[in-house]
Amino acid sequence: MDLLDQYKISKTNFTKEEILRLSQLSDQLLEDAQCADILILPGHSDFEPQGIFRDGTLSFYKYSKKNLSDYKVCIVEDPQKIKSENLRSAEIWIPILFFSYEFVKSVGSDFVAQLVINYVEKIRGKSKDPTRAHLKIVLGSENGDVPDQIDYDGPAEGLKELPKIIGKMRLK
Amino acid sequence: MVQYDPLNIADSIANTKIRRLINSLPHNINAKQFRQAIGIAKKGKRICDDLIEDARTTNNENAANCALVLKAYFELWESIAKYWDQLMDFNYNDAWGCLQDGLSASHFILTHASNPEQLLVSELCEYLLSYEEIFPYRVFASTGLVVIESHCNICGKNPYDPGCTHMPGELYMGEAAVCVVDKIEANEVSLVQHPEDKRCIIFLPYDRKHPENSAFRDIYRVSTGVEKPLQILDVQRAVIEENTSELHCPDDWDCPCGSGIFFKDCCMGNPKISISRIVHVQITKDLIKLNI
Repeated sequence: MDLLDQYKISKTNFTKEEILRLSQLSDQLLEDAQCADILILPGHSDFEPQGIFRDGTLSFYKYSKKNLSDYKVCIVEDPQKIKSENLRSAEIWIPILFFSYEFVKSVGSDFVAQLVINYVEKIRGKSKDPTRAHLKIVLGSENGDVPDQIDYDGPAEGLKELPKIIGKMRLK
Repeated sequence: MVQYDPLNIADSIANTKIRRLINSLPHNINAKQFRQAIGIAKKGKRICDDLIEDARTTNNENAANCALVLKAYFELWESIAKYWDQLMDFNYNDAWGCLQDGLSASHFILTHASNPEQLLVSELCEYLLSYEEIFPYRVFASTGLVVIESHCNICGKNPYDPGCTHMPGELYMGEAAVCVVDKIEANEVSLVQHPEDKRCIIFLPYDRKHPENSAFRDIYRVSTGVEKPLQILDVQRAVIEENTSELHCPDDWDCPCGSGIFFKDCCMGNPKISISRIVHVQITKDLIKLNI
């Protein structure tokens, strides 16, 4: 089976403004989130205000602080209130990521895809064990339109197809 | 990630002692003197603890981290010796735990050591993986938890706090950074194929007097037939066609064909399925040889 078939592209049911309104953030955090390039959203299968973050949230946040220091990454929750899943699984869970429209426009869709691929490579290290990856990314839209999202649940190797998927979406 | 040379020991006396201990470990294991090898590995670990303490006193982070990687190397050998000690006693469930300890140590060294090839860590890891393959465990228990409160073991801060700069898994003054969980909620226990920790096995009962008639027959045959424990295994596989309906594979498990895709999205509708199965396990004459 083609690994491209494991990707699902759909419309989200929220905009960035709605995410920030529903998340009840402090003024400072709200200000940070408004101008963030990448938002890490709570929720397991979909954004869930004040919900539990996916497994891998801390790992991605720390990775971004070290490797993406030129960009602003913000977790949509007060640090003291963050609850996260810990699934004790060898599978790779990537938190729900919202890439702002301005960020995708400035760095390009290939960069966004490569960012995710590099992170997964870092997590896997030298391990060659077959493993599954779970990804949900939202690409911000212009003028407050409802954004598109990509879901992927399949072998980690399938993430190498992500540039094609994002590229195809941007062409629409 | 910064990597460290575990054999970079400034103290010449400790250096000589460490090298002597390391070189003696394979000899003792091949001579089936497992308890002696365990003692040697423990001695090596104590020297490493002293080296870490000395490095901390002089604020030498590189030396402290080198000694921590070296300690993991002794843990790897200790696990191999304990593994064989348990195998000889037909304690297969406990042997499995030691095997997993050894694999954890080898992954740690492969991540953090600058010279794992000099220490034959990849070979030792593959050696343990070949043994892992002939154990009958295929399904594991895995917990689904929600972490509510945690702190960084290095600075004590909330790991999401912008002030905590420590990266989980990286080394700081002879200690690996981890997120210490203070408050947790347990949600579920699942049976999975790919757990983070393979130590949570589904216990398989067997008669220790007759393991040859149990699911552990392969590991029994190999462990009793081997002349020297550090001999390499040759696990031969073949692709075999089986009736899909006879496999009783859950829909949302990896397809047995090895595609990595869920069974329901792959071969579930096909009458036959091609599966790679172990057909023969052979002990070769090749030995893992170490001389540093």
